[in-house]
Order: sequence, then C-alpha cells, then structure tokens
Amino acid sequence: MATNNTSGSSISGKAAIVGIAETDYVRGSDKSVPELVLEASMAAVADAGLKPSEIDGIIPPGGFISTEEIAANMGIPEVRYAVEVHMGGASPTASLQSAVMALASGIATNVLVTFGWNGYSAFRKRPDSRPTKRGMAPGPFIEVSRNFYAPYGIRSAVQWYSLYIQRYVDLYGITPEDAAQVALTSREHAHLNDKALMGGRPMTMDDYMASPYITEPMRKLDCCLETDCAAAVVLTTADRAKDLAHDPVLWLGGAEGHPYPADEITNRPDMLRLGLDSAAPRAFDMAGVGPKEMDFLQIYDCFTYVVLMELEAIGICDKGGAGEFVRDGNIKLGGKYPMNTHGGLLSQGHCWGLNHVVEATRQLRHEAGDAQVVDCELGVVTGYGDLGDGSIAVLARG
Amino acid sequence: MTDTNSPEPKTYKKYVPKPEGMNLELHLAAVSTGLLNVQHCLDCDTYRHPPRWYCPNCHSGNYEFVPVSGRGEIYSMAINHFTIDRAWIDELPYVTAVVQLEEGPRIVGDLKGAAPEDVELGDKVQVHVEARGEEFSYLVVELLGRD
Repeated sequence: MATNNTSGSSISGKAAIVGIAETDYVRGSDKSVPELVLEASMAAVADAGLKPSEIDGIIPPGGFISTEEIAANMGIPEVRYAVEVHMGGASPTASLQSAVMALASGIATNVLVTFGWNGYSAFRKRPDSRPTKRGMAPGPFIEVSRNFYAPYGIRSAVQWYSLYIQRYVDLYGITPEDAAQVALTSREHAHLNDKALMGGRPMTMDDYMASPYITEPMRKLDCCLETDCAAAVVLTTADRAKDLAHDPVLWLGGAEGHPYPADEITNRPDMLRLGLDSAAPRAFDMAGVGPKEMDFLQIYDCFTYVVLMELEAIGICDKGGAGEFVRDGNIKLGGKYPMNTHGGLLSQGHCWGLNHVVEATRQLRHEAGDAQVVDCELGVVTGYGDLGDGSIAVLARG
Repeated sequence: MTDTNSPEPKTYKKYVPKPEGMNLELHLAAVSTGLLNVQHCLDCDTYRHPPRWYCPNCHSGNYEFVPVSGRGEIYSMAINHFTIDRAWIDELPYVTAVVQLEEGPRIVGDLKGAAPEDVELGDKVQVHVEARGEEFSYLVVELLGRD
C-alpha cells in the first residue's frame, strides 16, 4: 500500500471510498433529477455492502435536491452531518474533503456524496414534458456576472473561461493541436467504456480541426457533453472500510482552492491562477506523495484548454508546458500518466466530475476492465467549477 | 397589401441589468458624468473594480467613485462565434474585451468597429460610456492601434 499517513494532516488516510455507482449517461432522459440521484445513491450504498439506514452523512448536489429529500426517499432516519458545497463542477471532489473531515472527527460514520442533473433535457424541453421547478442554483458569482458580463453577451461557461484562456494560449503559445490531444485521447478512452456517450463514435484530428468555434480558442469539440446522469459514492472510516464489500480506496489528501477574487475573473492579480494552483500543493503535501508519483490522472475536463491549465496547476508539468506534455503521449492509456480513462466529461458524459471519482475508485480497485491501468496504486482526481474554483483528491489503493 | 396573418418577427432586447447598492452608485456616477468611473479608496489611494465594500489593499470602507481616463490596452478577450443570448445573434462574431486601464483596474467591455482578426492582446484602446436608461452605463471599447 503506497501510503504515507504521517505527513501533512491528521485526516490523511483516515477515510476511504467504499461504494460507487453511476446511472447511464444519456442525452434525453425520462427520469427526473430525484429519480437519477436516488437510483445512483441506492446503488452506491448497495455497492458498499451497506443498508441505506446506515448512512448518516449526506452531501447532495446543491440546488437540485436536498439532503432532507434524499434521506426521506431512501429511508435514512438519522442524518448527523449535512452540508452543501457551492463550487460548481469542483463541488463533488471538494465534497470528499468535507466527508473525510466528518468521518475522521467521528461526526459521521458513513457519508453519501451524490450528484445528478438533467444537464441535457433541462435545456431542451420536449413538448410532452412536464415543467419542473428544479434547476441549477445561481452560482455564487451571480451578482458580478449579471452586472458586468451578461450585458456584453457573456452568459455561458465557455465565454467566461475564454476571458482567461485567450490570454493563456497567447502567453504560452498553446495550439489547437495541443488541445486536440485532450479531446482525441478522451474519445479513444471512451471506446473502452460501455457507459460512455461517445463510445464507438471515432474522432480524428481532421474532425477536430473542422469543428466550429464556440468562443475562441474553444471549438465545439473542446467542449464537454451536456448529459442527463447521476453518480454517487459512499465513504467510511478506513478501519470500517476493511470489513466492507470491496477493496477500499483511501483518501490520502485533498483540498479546495478559490481564485481571488473568486466571483470575478478579470481583476485577479494573476488571471491565470486557478483555485487548483493553491489547492494542489496542499493536497499533495497532506498525502505525502507528489504529482509525478501518480499512476493515473482523472482531470476535470469541462473544456480541453482547462485540462491543460489544470495539468500545470497540479505540478505534473511546468507553467506553459502542458501542450508538450500531452503531445508526448503521456495521457494515453499505455502512456506515463493515463488521463480520464473513462472518457471524461468530454466523451463519457458530464456528471460534474463525480464520474471521475467513480472511475478513479474503479481503477484503484483494479476493476476498470479494458481501461485498467495495470497495477495502479495511486491516482489523482481534480474538480473545476464556477469561475475557476478548484478541488483535488489524492487516492490510494488500500 | 400586407398580410395581416403573418406574425411579427420576434425581436430580442439586449439585457440591461438593474444594478443595486454599490453597483448602482457606480453606474449613476458614470451616467451622470458620461465618463468611465471606478471606485477609489480614500485612505490608500488605490482604484478598484468591480465595486467592493472594503478596500482589498488596506481594508478601508471609505471610498468614492471617480472618473478615470478610459485609456488602456487589451489584456484578454472573448471572441464569440456562438451565443445562447438571442439578442446577440446578429452581432456574431463579436469581441468582448478585457481592458487593462492605466489606473490599475480591468474592465469588461464591448469592442466595437473591429473584426476579431484585427485585435491583438496589448493593443491600445479607449473606453467610452454609453448610457442605457438612467441607471446603467454600457462600456464600449474603441481600438486605437498598436505600439
């Protein structure tokens, strides 16, 4: 077991992921958000070998469904710990940190972290669909975005992020071919995953280069997939994990990070500094291992260029070096640091990165099928959301 | 003869926010003077944007809104080829500029009169204010040239 629990923090290695589940990833679902979330949650609890009534901590997808509803619908009579994380796509991986804190302190014994949404259907109402009042909560940056971005036709994630990505590519000479490596690799990996939306649908460099711009430098094929889906993971204490159904996957370290100011992009002293830049060193320090010791990377991939910035932020390559890093084949299965072995948000589907946690767990259980990174012992998951918030978890085979 | 049965083409108005609190103070200052304004700390003499209750430099709560030169350069930009905002479809492709002002803060504005391929980071610009109603100052960025 590749662990070093003495450095960094009292909570390193104190809790483990013991249950995982995900629904199908589809574009157009008849299932509501509660159905999806509850389906994944029930399956994750069963995967852990637990009963729903043994769950006593819940971290739900903020705004979509509450802890109270999840508990009532699953039969969870005693919730001792409930909290919501508001970091957009960084939330699920940041939630792991919160779950571990609750477990290591003895506040809770089994914590459910779940996410689900109608990320496709909610934006494409069918004539026969019943209206729903459930939706995404406005981001914590809404006051800035509605006053200073929206009046200029800047209303979506790809547009917000281009405000710094345009400067990133200009400063470091990052090319479309570099970003394409991320898109093409994700697609290749998706072909190995039965649950990937884009499995069996090849993508070539010509396809990528012919893809229209959305907001420069992002093309359509640099963007992740709008998806209807849910996922869930269950964590418990490291001691208790030994007696459960699967090989436990230990949480060695983790962190969240917020750019400053988090609610406004353009007046950051360093506009290219993401939340992950501050979070990653703390997480690796806590874990007592370095980024280059990772056997695989599950990197939050809302957009290919964001992946490149994250690779630099976690310190696996230098600032401006991500283009070369991905060109050298590092991120493919069989390479030095296989990345997004499930296909990622780009080609599996968009479950706010909880699907990255599920895949990391599958890898470390050595249950990843054709995408298995042979004998892997250590892996990292990142999250990214809102206007550049970051989260990270360093995981180990227990 | 007009066909009275054909519906009027639907038009979409550009979104104009209804600023509150400190944001409203900023816009009222700009609309009343016709000049770009930013917040200025009365204690440490630094400029900040967007408006904040306390100065991020010295944490003072004493501030004023003051006109600034509007001179600056393109620090970054969004070159938009697609939009979910129907009011902007006719403008595609449009460039949204991040301008580094001489006074320190950066503003987001609408780059007018230049095609995306004509703009580079570092280009000199002048920011102008256009009133949209009585409570919102829209920022227009004019490209001046290159060093």
